[in-house]
Amino acid sequence: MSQKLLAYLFYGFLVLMVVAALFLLKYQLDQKDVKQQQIDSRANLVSRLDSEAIVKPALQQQANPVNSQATISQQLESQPTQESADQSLTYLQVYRQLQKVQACQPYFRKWQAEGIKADLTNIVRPATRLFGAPDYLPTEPQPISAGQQTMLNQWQAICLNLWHEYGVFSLERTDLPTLVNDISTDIERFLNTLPTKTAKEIAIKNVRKVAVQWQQSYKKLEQTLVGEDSVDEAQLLAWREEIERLKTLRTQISKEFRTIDNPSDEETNNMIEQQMELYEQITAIEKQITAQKAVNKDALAQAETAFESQNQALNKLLYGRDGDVFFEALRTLEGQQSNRITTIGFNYNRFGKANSYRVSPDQMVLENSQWQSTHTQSNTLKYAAHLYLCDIGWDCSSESIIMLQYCLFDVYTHPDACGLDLRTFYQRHLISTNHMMDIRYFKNIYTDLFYE
Amino acid sequence: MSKRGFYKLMVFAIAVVIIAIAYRLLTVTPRTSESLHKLNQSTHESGGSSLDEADSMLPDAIHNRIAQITQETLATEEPQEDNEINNQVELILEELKPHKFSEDPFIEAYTLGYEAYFCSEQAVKDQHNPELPMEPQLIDLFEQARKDCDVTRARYPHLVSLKDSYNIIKNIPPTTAAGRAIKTQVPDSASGQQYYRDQLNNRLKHALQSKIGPIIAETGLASYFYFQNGETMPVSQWLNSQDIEYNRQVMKLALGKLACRYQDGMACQPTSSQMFMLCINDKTACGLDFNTFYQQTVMPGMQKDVEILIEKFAAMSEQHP
Repeated sequence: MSQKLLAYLFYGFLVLMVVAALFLLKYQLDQKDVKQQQIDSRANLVSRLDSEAIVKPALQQQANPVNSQATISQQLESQPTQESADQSLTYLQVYRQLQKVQACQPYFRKWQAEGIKADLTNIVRPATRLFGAPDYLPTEPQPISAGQQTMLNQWQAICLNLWHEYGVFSLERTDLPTLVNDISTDIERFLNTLPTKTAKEIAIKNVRKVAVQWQQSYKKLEQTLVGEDSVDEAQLLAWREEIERLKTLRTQISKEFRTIDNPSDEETNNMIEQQMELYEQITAIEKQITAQKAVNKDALAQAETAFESQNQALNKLLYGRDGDVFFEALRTLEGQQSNRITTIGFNYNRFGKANSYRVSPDQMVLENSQWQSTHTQSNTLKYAAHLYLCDIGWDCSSESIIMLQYCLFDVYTHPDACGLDLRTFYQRHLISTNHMMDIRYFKNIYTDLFYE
Repeated sequence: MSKRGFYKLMVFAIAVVIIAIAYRLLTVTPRTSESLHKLNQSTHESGGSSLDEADSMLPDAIHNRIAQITQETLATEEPQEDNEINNQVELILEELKPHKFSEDPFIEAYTLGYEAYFCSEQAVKDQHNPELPMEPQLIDLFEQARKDCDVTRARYPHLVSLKDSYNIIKNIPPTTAAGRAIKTQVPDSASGQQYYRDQLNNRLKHALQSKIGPIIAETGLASYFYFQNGETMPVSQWLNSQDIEYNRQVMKLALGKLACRYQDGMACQPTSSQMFMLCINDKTACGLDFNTFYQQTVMPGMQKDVEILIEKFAAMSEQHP
């Protein structure tokens, strides 16, 4: 090899090294920038409370260029966000949007915390651990199925549209727009201003109105049943302070116990005895507080009459043969507070002083059957209600909210639910053939009671 | 520059560059999200064992001293307590003879302790526990169950009168594999999820093979049995149902019903511990024997699923231990 060729090779090699060094330097600077953005985005969350300017972010202007100018000016004037929504939407369309917004809460929470480009895969809840499924450590992210990924993407588009359409954002950082309004509340307010045109819209608006009145009268009844204080404020304060003191003592004992390595049986028993003694003292004071309350008989009679009237009105709407109306009445009578609708159909909230005044549809169905135990039949009643809802037109399609929850957001999710409609999922995967017989039995009672 | 000098310079330059690149790769973690994640994980993992690390840094002399102190402490303090427990264990072992349920004294004492619950000091405590509200059905059950307590107390005076019977019973050493498996109440999930499931399956297998009604029923009622750390056996496949909550209910009923086949159905009497536990959760169970409760509350479809599991469990109970 000639000396000249070697020299070219050597200089060529040096040039390559310089290029590589420059590339590495640029890469490091880029990464530093990304890191800084992450730090800034967290800082922005803390500082957003100080923010005064509330405008839509640049991102939204891009997504909705036609309305962007008007939207910004409206929000600068702190107008309600619903004014930015398309006024041509019907009552039913906005009602559907409201339901979707409630289902989109996991997306919204993620975007609020980590920005619009956040990785959404970890909002998917862990899958039901069936036999033979691989194990994952609690800290380990579980992979999601292809069906879950498709569903996640489909709903990402739906939720993103609603987020842009109804969200009001702090402009402090354009790269991490921070939501400052409650989209669900704003849509609900907007919905209440819209006129109803079709029979279905009138029925939905009516059931929503009656449901609110039912909740108010139920709350009033509960308060009346609890009674009013008959002792003076000083005595009440003393009792409450004593309860607080005893509770603090309980916590202290628990904390101290946890510091003992390998506690002996004697130490454990001592701790339990002390805890029990304190618990009894607390219970005794709480009983005193409850006992001194006096129920005003006239007020109770009034509350009972008011509730009875609302209860009749709401129960009457169960016979409307409409899936959405039945759903609204059902969730109200069951006292459902959360957005989780996979549990609807069985009243898990059978507590409170006024509980005996209400009868939920599952109780009516059970009373009309030959069976008694709600404990054993809870799931059977729940699925029967779902299938009845499907029969009367509630959305049970593969794109429905209940299927989204089964697929992505139930306590333990069902990857097999993704892409299937409710009936198919129940028949093929969730419910055994034998169990389905029992569910059909209850569903027929639902039909007999509320449809025929 | 001579040809030789040029070669030397070139080799030197290449070596410097290679060393620099190698140094960079070995010492600087690239700032990709993946590597940051790995870094976090390793920090987290090492954080969890910081005590072990600190412990490993102690000189041997200190380790020896700790061992010495531990031995001294054990030698001076624990025997008193041990002696007391041992005495009680001895008394119980004596009164268990002749065994009714199992040759293994642990299983024998455990079964008796479980079924004699209503006659125990613990039952008295529970009845007056403000956290366990005594509804009329439960009070009736307590009264019914206590009718035979005199006979039980006469037969097993120590076992029944123990203030803390479970703590004493757990000091009885099992003499069989079944006893050791049944003693494993809540398996150690820290040892891995597969280990946890294996332990539970082992316990179920031994409970079934013991053919002791109360032990089988108690296994079915254990709330931890099914949910944590995944399905322990392919029940979802056997029933063709992914509804884990329903499957667990079916499993509980199947074990409860199977338990009635043994010891003339003692685990299914209205005053059995099984029915007491069912009564706490479901008032329709109070005062009924298991089979009546089953016929009144379990629907035909669910009964068919229960039968599927009974068949599987019955086959397991006939397998060689």
